[in-house]
This record gives sequence, structure tokens and C-alpha cells, in this order.
Amino acid sequence: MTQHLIKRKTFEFLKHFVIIILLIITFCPLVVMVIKSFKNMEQNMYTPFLPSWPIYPENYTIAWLHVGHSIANSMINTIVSTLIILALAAMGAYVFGAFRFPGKDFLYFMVISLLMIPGILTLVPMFLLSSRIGILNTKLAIILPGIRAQLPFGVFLLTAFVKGLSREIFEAAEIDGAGMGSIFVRIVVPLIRPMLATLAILCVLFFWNDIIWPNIALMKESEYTIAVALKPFTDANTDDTVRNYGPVMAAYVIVSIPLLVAFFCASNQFIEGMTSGALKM
Amino acid sequence: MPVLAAMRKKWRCYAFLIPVFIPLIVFGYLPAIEAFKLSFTDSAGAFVGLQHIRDMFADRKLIRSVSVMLKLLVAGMLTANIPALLMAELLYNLRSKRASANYRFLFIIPMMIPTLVIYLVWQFMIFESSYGLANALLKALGMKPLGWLNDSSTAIISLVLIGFPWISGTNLLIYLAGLQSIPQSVLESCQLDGANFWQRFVKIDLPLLVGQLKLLLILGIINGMQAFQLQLMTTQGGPRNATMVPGLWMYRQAFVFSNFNYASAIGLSMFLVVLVLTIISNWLINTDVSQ
Repeated sequence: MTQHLIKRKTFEFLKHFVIIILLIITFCPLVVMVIKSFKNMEQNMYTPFLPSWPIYPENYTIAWLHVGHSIANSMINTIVSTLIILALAAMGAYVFGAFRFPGKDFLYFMVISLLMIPGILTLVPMFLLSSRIGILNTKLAIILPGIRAQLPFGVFLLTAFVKGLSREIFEAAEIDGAGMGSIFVRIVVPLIRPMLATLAILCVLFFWNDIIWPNIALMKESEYTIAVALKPFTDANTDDTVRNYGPVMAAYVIVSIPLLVAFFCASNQFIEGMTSGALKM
Repeated sequence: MPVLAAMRKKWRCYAFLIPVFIPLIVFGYLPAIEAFKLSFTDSAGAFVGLQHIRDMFADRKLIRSVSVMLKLLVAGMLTANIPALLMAELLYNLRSKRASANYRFLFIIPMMIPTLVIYLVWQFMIFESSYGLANALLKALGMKPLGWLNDSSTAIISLVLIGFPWISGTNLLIYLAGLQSIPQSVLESCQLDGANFWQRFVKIDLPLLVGQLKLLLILGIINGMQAFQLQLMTTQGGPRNATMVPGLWMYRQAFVFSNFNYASAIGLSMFLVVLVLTIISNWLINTDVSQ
């Protein structure tokens, strides 16, 4: 019996051990990144990975000067696009989920089939279109195509949820004489709030991490998002003559902070959103 | 006309849908239609039929990039799924539920780092040839330093290594959620039968995770075929086209050489391949569910 217990304990210990080792490997690059961000050029050459003194917090000032505005741009683009997608997806889901009207199935199919049209097909025409209507190098170049990218999935996610709501709620409200607008605002939106949170988190992660389109649509430095600003700043500090990794790593740390803060503030919603959102695909 | 009368009665529904459809039509359907138009015309707008498609078959860089894409696709599927699945099993089997939740929390933190930061950290901090972490490790082990992303013979494997040990990702959460939804009664009867960990993994967990596995494999194929952001940010397809994939070649045709029509034809072909694969895999999933 005790032997069995010892065996079980050892096995349990081994599991913890493996997990912790893998956690250390996972975090290692991030920790070294933070360590390097406090070094000057010589320290980064002679003690590249371990902490060294004195530390150089001014790397962060330099980095902020170069990438600070891109964080603001990324945040504006992410928040505005996400809010618009939430509003439009909720409206679409309300109509598709709670009503019958001629052409409903066709219109719903029109929305959902966009899920099957990948970015690779529309990348070039989207650039030509954005250039024609003059939105390149503006925030609209990120926001408007971004709405198209995430709205079909949003409608899909929320429609399923609205369909699951009890019909009696809507009927009772209609008998009370409430119009579509007020039912939407007062009843539908509060009821679908958990799904809205899921959609919001998926949208935020999408816009914050999107790389290809911003690199095509934004060529003006004042409009750069983090996905556009980091690369030129890195290249300028790491060519063959200069290897100033301090400010570069400081920039990486700075741009990582906003989402980390958001995650620590709402970690349960994040976990819920990332899990259920992907499962509903 | 009863339909018209019904439509008039429900005019508010259509009014609600107008703001939904405007962005979808302008930025979804119009570009998709234009992609077809561009693929069969030249830069002056004249119809050229299948000329661009014929050019694609003669484009040796494009043909070669397909095999690079397939290699990265297979490697990406393995790295995105196997470590995540095994870690999900480990976390799920911990006796202490609190420790399990804490570890999960820690594994989620790196997912909040912008993807581009991860790419650049690996390129400039780990794979850098003279001051990088990878070569420092090799030297410490008494081995010769490698060129990593800068050497055409190691570039592909280096791209695959980015993100090692490939655990911290949404896949971990999906597999873990799948395991946690296995009914307690199944596990109990399994325990009574005296099944060991491995038997349970093969006989209970894997069959019950089949939905998640399939979903992630299909998404892996669809996304993997089109993926080129990693190359765009790190190798630019080099060195000597060792990491060139069709998506990046399309990008370069359009935005470096301004061959928008040829690029559209590449994009259209990739779309058609992805569409066919999606339909086949959906069909496979549905036939399985009905059984």
C-alpha cells in the first residue's frame, strides 16, 4: 500500500517537474528579452543574456520615442474596430436569430459565405480598392477592411446564441409595445453580453496581432501600428555596424504591456473567449 | 404579391441589416469579384484568358515554393498540436486542480505578447549568428555555430523552431476544454477497470477529442496553406528562396514588382485549392458525425 502511494507521489512529482521545465523554456526568451532591454551596447556584447549593472532604463525612453505613437494607433484601431463589429454583429444576429422575413436564408448565407473567402484572395484587390477610395495611410484603412474580416464570424457566433433565447421574451416585449430598436438595446444586448465579451476578445487579439495588411496599407510613419513600427526600428538598430539591442528589446517590452494589462484585468473573460470562440468555428 | 407585403411589413429587419451589409459588400464581395477580373486581364484591363494561369505553371519559383509550403504546413501541424495535446493531458491529470489552473494561467501569458514580437525575438535574439542565444548554447555544448535563418540549409527548420516548445497557444486551451468535458462517469468506470494512463489516453481521451483534433487539423491546413507573415517579417523568403511560399510570392509579385494581375491569379488559385480542401474536410466531418 505504501509502495503504491510512493509510486503515485513520484509520478505526481514528475508531472509537476516536466510542466515546470517546459514553462521555464517557454518563458526563457521573454525573460532574456527583458534583461537585454536594460543593457547598453557593450553589455549586450559581453554579457548578452545575464543581468549586468548598471542598468540603462533610458533604453525605454529611446524606444518610446520611436514606437510610442504606434501603440496609440494600434489601440485606437483595435478599440474602434472591435466596438463597430460588436454593434453590427449584434444587430445582424438579432434580425437573423429572432425574425422570419422573405430572403432571410439567402441574406444569412451571403454573410456566412464570406467566412470561406480567405484574405489571400482579396489582398491585392483590397489594396487597389483602398488606394482608389483614398483611405491608404489612414486609420480607416485598418478599420474598414478589419470589420469585413471579423464581422461574418461575429454574426455567426451571435446568431446561434440569439436563436437559443426563449421566443417568449421577444413576444412579451412586443405585446408591451416595444419597438425593434428598444427591444434590441434593452433586451437583446444585455442577454447576449457573455457572447459579446467572447467576440470582443477574439477581435482584440486579431487586430492587435494582424501583421500583413497593416504592413501593406500603412506607409506613413505617423499612422504605423505596432506590427509596422517594430521592424524598421529593429533594422535601424541592428545592421552590420550598429548592434544596439537595448532599445530594440525595450520596444518589444513596451508594445507587449497593453494586452498583458488587459489580460490581468479580465483573465477569466480572456480564457473563456479564447476557448469557446475557437470551438464555435 | 404576398411576398412584397411580407417584406413591407418587415421593413425594419432589412433596415437593421443595411449597416451590416455595407462593409461586407464594399470590402468583401467587391474585392472578391475584382480578384476574378484581375486574374483574367492584363495591367491595361484587356482580357487575357488563362495566360496568368499558364505563367504560373512555368514559374519555377512558384512551383518550388509549393513544396516549401507543404513542408512548413506538415511541420506546423505537428508542432501546433502534439505538444499542446500532451501538455493538456499533463495539466488535466494533475491531482491538484488549483496547480493545474495556475499552470494554465502561466501558459496563457505568452499568448498576450504580440505575434510579431515573438518572431523578432527569435530572429534577433535567439537565431542571431554572433550574439544569439541559440549559437551561445551550441558553443557551450562544444558544437559549431549555425547560420539558422541566414543559411538556406537551416532556414526552414529555424522557421519551424520559432515558438519552441510550441505549447503556449489557443490549441492548449481547446484540448484542455475538450478533456474537461469528458463525463466524470466515463473516467470513473475507466478507473474501476484499472486502466493505466496510456490505455485511457488511447481508448478514452483521443476518441472523445476527435472533434477538436479534426477542427484544429482543418484550420491548420487552411491557414497553413496561406500563411506567409512569418516569412514576410523575418526571411523575406530567403536565403536564396529557401523559405519562399506561394503567399509571399503573391505578395512580392503585387507589392514589390507591381504585377497585380499575376498576383491576383496566384491568390485566386490558392483560394480555389483552399475551398476544395475545406469542402472535402467539411464533408468528411459531417459523414463522421452522422454515424
